[in-house]
Amino acid sequence: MSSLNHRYDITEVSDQVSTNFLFYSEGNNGRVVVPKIIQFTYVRDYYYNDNPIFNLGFGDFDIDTGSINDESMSDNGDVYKVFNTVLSTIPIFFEKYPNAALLVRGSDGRAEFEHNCKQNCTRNCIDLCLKFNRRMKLYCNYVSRKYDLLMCDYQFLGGVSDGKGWFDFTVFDPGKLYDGLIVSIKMFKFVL
Amino acid sequence: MKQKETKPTEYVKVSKAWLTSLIASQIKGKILFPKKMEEAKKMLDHARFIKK
Repeated sequence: MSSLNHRYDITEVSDQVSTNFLFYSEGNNGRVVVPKIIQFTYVRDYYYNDNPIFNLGFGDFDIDTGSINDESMSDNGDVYKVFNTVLSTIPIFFEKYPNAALLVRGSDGRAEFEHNCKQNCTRNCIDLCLKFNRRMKLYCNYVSRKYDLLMCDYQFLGGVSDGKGWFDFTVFDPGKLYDGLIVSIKMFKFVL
Repeated sequence: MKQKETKPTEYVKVSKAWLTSLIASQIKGKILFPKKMEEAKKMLDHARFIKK
């Protein structure tokens, strides 16, 4: 992940509450500059070894309101560059918290996202929303494609909802789509 | 007939460094994704780690 090129320059703006990275999406035409923030926040400890688990949050920052929109699609034509930029912060995070694990989920996987998206649909989706869960698909596809390389340094667990409120996490199976991923560096991997 | 004058939106050019420090001050100490954090907590509280 650290070898990712074709990405934006990032600035770390961390504090005691969270580790934050800021970058500016300039898009293909370089006209619309969108500030984006990646935030790593502590959620809880893993029950087995008390290692901390952090959440990865990512979204567009609105300077006027001082808030984030994590469901926004700025459609700046730079989705892969933005994605690479997000990924490039993960090794930096693990340098700071080597024994931590990271929970990665997509904010476009919520039921209300699909509902809201259908209200303003630009893709003429009939039954299935094409934008639904796009981020998790992107993350899972990336891990699947690079699995052999990534598993040298990292451990990936994939979580799937059982539909009754529980999430079953198992070792990541390349090609499979998950509702959530837990990433940790191999030295401090999860014991199942 | 006199046409109503509309004032154009004024833009101020600022440097990225200035913008970055403004954003840094705006996000300081804030949890920016409270909804996602809540969902993450829920997910981890209801997580089962299974050995296959």
